[in-house]
Amino acid sequence: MTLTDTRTGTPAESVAAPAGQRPAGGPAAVWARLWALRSGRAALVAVGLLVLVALTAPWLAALEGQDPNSFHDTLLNSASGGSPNGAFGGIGAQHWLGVEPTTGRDLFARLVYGARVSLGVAVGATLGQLLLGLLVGLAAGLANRGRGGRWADALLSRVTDLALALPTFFFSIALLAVVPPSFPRPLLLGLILSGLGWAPIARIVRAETRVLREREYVAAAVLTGASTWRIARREILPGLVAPVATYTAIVLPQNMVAEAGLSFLGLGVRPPTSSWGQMLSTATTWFQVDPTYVLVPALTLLVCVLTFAGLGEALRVAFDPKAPVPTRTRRIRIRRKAAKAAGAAQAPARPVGATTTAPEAGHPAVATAVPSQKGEAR
Amino acid sequence: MIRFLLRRLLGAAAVLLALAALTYLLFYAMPGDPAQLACGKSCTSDQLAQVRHALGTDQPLARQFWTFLTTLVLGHGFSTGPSTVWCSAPCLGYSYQSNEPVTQMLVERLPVDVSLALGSAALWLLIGVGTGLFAALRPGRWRDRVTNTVVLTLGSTPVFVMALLLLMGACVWLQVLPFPNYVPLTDDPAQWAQNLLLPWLAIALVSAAGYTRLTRAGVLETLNQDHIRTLRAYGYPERRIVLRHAVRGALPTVVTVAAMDIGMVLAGAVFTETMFGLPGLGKLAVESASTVDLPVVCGITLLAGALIVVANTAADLLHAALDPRVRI
Repeated sequence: MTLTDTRTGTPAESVAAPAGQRPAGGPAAVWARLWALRSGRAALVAVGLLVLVALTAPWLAALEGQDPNSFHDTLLNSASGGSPNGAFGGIGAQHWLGVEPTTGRDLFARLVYGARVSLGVAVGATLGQLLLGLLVGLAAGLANRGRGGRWADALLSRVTDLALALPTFFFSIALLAVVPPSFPRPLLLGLILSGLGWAPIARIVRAETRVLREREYVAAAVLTGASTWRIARREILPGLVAPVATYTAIVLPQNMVAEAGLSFLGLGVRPPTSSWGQMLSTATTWFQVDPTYVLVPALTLLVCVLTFAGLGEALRVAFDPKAPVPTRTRRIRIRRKAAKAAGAAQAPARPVGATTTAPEAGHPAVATAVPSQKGEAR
Repeated sequence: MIRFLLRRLLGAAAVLLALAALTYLLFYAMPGDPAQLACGKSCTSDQLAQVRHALGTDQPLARQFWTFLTTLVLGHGFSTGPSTVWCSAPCLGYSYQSNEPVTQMLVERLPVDVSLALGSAALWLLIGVGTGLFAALRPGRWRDRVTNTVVLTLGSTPVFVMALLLLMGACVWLQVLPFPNYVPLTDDPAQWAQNLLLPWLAIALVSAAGYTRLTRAGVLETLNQDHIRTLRAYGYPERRIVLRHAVRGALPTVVTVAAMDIGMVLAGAVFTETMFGLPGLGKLAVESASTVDLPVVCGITLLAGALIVVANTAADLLHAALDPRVRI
């Protein structure tokens, strides 16, 4: 029962045919291509900045001279129910982004500390999803060689289908409600998100593995008597880098939004730990009086998600050997070629979404996988 | 066709059963006392014993699951101290916190989600297909690129951020709309639409991106086919070719994805409902999760799963009906 295969009109396996194409030159070449793309460079720099902010949060707060948890009653206007004094939520030299209503805690400090939670949970959840998805997908993709293998593949694939059909968001709400509050919340969030979100990756990995398995170099490895584990690691895994890396860049911002969303609902990170979702949820009661308080976390989250979306798009182009990427030496000629290709009606050279039904546009596996990925909770 | 239909329906039934088992296992077979959880924090030992008896937690696990399934199909009586409340046919359990059968609570909330799903679906189809066509008419040119960028930005926006920005924009800065307050359709259709306009917009703007891409890709793919070449050779105006003939290529995928998305919203638009204060399933889920009202959470999860599975199956069937190549 493959719920999702029919959507593109073709089974995932057959569309993913030209799998394992890697741009010549390995990782270094991919980095070069990524850097050569203007959007890729911008996204890389922005992601680097975000990581830097998260890592150096205490020093950044110290630089401002504030910390995320001390109250500043003197900065609040008790007559208006505790909204900050001064324009734009109390922005000034002391408090760079203003202070929080009713408590007077420093917003900049809370924001940079919140980046740790957001990024930490998102990266952790994504790594968990990758690990589970790779394990299940590789096992299912390589299984049906042996005698019992076909059953193992069928079982793993059905489990994946079931996981795809789960109402993920409701499950995470329910699980967060059941687990006792003493369990560390960021860890729990990471576990829940990865435990519920590995299925799309497993599907991609299985489809790609089945294609790669038929390659001559894998057959050669089998002939030399290499173990299945060695084949998975040395022969298959390198071919999976492109589709999995591209998909990871799609999943990571989704996990970030999921964490922010659950904290927004009051089910995620507990106070006094600050998180962007939590800031947004308290901000909802203040948006009439103190719009700055809403806009600071909202725009931060938005910019982060957009950055990752841009990175995913750039990664997809960088991994696609057919996509036009300007190179330093032949920039002008290739740019002209790119313009020509973009003008052609067939297979637009750089479609913004990977959600096309034309298999030649974008990486084949991701192109088939994205329509089957579940919509985010609304 | 009959075989295809049967296979799909059987598959859906299997997934639903597995879903029920999983939900049950997660919430009733967890370590800890489910009776205590179901009963809530302020629960006397007398009530606790009743709940424990009603849940049958002293029975073996397989038997408990069987009771859970028969309760779902046949209904079950729940004793609440002096009286017994009969929970009829599709019984999802009994909430000891609000003293109501779960099914009844869910059915009361469903109209909100139906209103949300249908209204926003109409809007996102309009926006998505419209912008997709707009982009496909001149692929690669500036308006294609601008549309793509705008749509990608909107599509990446978390829905609660979108809702918050819409609320601030429309209700605080421009003051064109009052703060939404749900009015049932049967009470006052005009008020209903006015109050739901912002929630519809929030969902539609976030969801439209996928439809833009699907439409654009489908149209561009169809434009390469022979029958379009023939039409062009006959001298049909390009606009008419796109709007009349190329659109059909995108239709099956758009309808299929729309069916699934409608299922997702029907199952509860958690953020939109929380943000705009709409009393739907999503809001109920969050409220019950924060008060640890386990039967309700479990019931909503199961209903949401069922709605999504049903929507996926409907999408598959629709796709098969619209695209004859899928049927094999």
